[in-house]
Amino acid sequence: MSVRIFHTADIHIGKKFSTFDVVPDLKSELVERRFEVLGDMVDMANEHSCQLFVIAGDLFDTHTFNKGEHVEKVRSKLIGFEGDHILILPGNHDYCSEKNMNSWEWVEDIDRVSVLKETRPYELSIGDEKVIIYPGPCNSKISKDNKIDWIKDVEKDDPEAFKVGVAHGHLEGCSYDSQGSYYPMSKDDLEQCGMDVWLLGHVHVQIPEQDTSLQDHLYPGTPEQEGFKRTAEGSEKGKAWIIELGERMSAESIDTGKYTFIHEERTLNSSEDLDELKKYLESDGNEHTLAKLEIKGRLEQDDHRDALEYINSLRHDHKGFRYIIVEDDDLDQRIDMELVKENFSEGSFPYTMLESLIEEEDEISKKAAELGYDIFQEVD
Amino acid sequence: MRIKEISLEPFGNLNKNTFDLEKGTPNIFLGDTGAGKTTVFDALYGVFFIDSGVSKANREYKKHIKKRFPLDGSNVVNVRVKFEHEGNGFEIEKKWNESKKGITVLKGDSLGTIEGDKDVNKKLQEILPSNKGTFKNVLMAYQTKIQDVFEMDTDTQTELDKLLRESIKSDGISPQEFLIKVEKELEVYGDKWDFDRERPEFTSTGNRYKGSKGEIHDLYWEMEDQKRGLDEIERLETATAEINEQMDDITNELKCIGSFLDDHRKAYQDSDKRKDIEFDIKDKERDYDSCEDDFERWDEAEKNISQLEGRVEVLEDNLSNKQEKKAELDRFSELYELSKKIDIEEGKLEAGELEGNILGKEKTSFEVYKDTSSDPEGFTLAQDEVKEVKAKGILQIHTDRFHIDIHSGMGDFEQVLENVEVLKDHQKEKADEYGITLPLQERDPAKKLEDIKEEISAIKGEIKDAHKDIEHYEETISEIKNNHEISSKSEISEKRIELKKEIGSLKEKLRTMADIPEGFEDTSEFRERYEEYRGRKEHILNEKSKLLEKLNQMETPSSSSQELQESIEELDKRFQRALKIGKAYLLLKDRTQELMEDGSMIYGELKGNIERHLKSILNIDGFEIQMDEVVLQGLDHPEGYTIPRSSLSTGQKDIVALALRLAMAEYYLQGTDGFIAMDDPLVNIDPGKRKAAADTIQELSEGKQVLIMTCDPAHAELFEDANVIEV
Repeated sequence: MSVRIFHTADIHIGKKFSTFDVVPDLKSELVERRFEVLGDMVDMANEHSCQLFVIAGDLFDTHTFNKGEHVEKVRSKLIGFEGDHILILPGNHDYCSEKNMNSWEWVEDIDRVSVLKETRPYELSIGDEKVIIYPGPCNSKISKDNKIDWIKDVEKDDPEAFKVGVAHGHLEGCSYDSQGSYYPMSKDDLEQCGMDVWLLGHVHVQIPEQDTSLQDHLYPGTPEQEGFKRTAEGSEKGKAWIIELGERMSAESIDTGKYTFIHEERTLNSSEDLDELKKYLESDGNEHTLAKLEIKGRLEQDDHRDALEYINSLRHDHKGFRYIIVEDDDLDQRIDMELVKENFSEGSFPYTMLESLIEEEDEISKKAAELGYDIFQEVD
Repeated sequence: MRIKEISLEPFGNLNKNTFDLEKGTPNIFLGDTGAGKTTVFDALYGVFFIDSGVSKANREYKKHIKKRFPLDGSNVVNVRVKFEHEGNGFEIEKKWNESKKGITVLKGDSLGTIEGDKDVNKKLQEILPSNKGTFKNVLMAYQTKIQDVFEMDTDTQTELDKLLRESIKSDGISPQEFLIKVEKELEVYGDKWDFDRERPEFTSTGNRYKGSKGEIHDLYWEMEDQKRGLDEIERLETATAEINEQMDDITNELKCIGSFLDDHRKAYQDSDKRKDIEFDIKDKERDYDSCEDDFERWDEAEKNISQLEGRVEVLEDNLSNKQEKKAELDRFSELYELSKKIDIEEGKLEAGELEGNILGKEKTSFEVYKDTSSDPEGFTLAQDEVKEVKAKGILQIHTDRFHIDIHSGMGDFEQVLENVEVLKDHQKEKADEYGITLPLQERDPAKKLEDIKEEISAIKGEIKDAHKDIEHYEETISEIKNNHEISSKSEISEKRIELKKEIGSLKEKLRTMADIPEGFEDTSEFRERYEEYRGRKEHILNEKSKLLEKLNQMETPSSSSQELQESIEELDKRFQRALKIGKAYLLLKDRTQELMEDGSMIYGELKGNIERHLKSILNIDGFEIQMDEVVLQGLDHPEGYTIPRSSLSTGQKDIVALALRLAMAEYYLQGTDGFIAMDDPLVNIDPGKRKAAADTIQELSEGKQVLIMTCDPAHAELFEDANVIEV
């Protein structure tokens, strides 16, 4: 016998996406998509006959979620689940404290939902199988301590039951938490708890990167990407896990996301670089991709002009992307002696000025040459 | 380098036009406005300086080429120029195509054919007498461009001398104007920013400037404000986390306590009665135990009393025997004391015995009285006979001649003798009375008597103790009786049975009540714990409500620390960028000022040429330019007065501008072939001065190729050997 679990986390329902309101309907589309993906996942869980639907933290983007706008819509999605239990762990964004206990009670009212808000074992019966859930619920936005220590000491005297840990936070080696403020856990901590599997949340990329039967701690990543990140987060479509608990545990990755958020940094120092960028951006299938381009570098006059024209066209028609934002403040025209000689008389003020700046080669001088050149052009 | 032929096939409104430039000098392109003079100018500039493959967005392309496509819809313009350089003939051809890349070809007598912008440009750099900039700004500048400098600078109230200098030095770009623009930009970025200390400037009172200042300043403070906001949010988040942590601990404790109180509420309610019953049971059990103990004690006391009484009997028998024995010993002792007295008295007698030897010196008779009671014994001693004489107490030797009485020291010997007799009689009498045979056979009985006395005393002690014990046991029994208010042992047994029943019945009652939880000795301990928890619960609820209040009082930050952190990072990026730009403008400003102070630039070398051309145009000998170092102060008239720089008329300014232009051409083309293109150079000059100006240009054209564009045939006629090309 076995138990099948649909494992997701970090859905961030209620995220506002305010920076995207420059494009008509995009903001509302992204906001609405957080609900849609929940519904999609419920359908996927049903297709795979999952008995458990586990959300390992941050179902909501904030702990101040409200009933009408958020909970009721979540209810409308979750009631479609055909399995036995829906388990929702409060994460560090939607943490559960005395202050918002009532809000979580609204969630608990949803059929078959258990909010894992207490540090105690939750016993579940699924067919003939017994599953005991050991949660580590968050009670604030940040915490230097994880919430799973209690599990180490608790008696686990039923060898027949599946023991499933559910926690939300930073796991050493799996994400970056310089201050150790996000419920930091180590792999030793997890091991000492003696679970059959750990269903984690907080990191927005899936870990491990492929299907596994070897790793007993799993991050599903966010099911739908939600912003531009400097890391790999966002560049892949959202995913979730379908986990089979039996004699052996196995986890299968499942695609859930519709959008990707690309944060691309490009240096353009030649027309070839620009051509490559065009090639990269003009590939097909970007209708659900949101891109943030940071372009820097120094181009010769004509290439620079071409690049700016291209960037303007990107800003204007998005080149098949759902949305594209380009930061080109650091893309400069290359000011070299060839250009100076072309434009100014030898010994003249602009010539002398630019020549002295070009000789210096440091970044400020280069910038000064570029700005000076622009002013000369303007005056001319 | 000299241009020999220009062909436009087509270019602008000119199609299949070939202009021969070898028929005279200067070359004058004459035509009405719109006829195509500027078209020729653009074609010439384009063929040398605008790539055929240039981007269609290129500014120069738009300015010089794009507008030259024919109106008939053709998308190609073509310029071909033949020229000579160092004795070699060249031909350059450029075709610009509006919809695709154009063609560039350079052919030379000794060069062969080079194609493509890049290679052709490379070769042109070797051939052309000056760089593109010089052509653009001096050699092929529109006349108005230089005049504009005057107008522009007049508007900015700049002095003519400066304008002149700057216009020469800057390809028509004024350092002053450049500086103004740089400073304006620097203000935009660096207002109220201290670049040396890399921090914002403060007001005289040490406060930050309010409102919007330079971008660096504004971004710095926006970032600082956000950092402060971040600190506050982090503080709030930490405080919230701490409170929630406490709240969690409290809630967990409350849960434990609450569940204990809920689980054991009935037990607690019953426990009051239970406590009474338990007390009863305890009392009764105590009574029962007491009964049991007392029953045993009574029983034991009775047994002990019985044993002790038996013992007392034995002891008393023993005592009686001992006392009899002691009486015997007393009697014997009495006789023994008498014997001792007799012995003493007899000892005295013995001590009173006298003994001696009488040595007869001669025969002697005498009587010896050995004691007072006996008769004298008469002796006769022969000479030298010795008679041993013994007596008791008194030895009287009576001879005829003397009586010798010798008395022992014992005093009254008779009395002693009597005493002995009396004592012996008394002893005998007592011995008879006591039935003891004399003489006494045993020795001193004192030791035995002492022993027996001790034994008697010990027995008496034991008897006394036994009585005491008996008394104690009797008291025990009496106490038990009193305690239980009973008079017989059977009653206590009955009471015990009764108590057992009652205890059983109470315990049965307890069994019907809720149990006290495990781990408690009794109800009191349980009740104590229950009440402690109840108090604790109340305390915790108070604490919780205080914490909740604290939590409610805390502001909910509008954004999370993570979001703000990202925003600060973004601001920092903008700040660093603005700072870089600000520093760059600062560098430009400093460098401009340095260059402006450096007067050794090319102006000095031009002075002579300008003067020469001015004199030539004005045709006034002795007219001199007044210079203050490199600065034009005015024109010294030969009649002795000076036209100050500020008083130069427009016409004079034009003449100065033309002189300047010609001087610059000479300067840039010195030592090399080359050409200068001039757009209507005489148009604004006073009619009276035009011929002189034309002659000056004519003079220049003898050495350098001069191309003039004009719409006025009269101007063309002013040049004697001109090659007038009508367009």
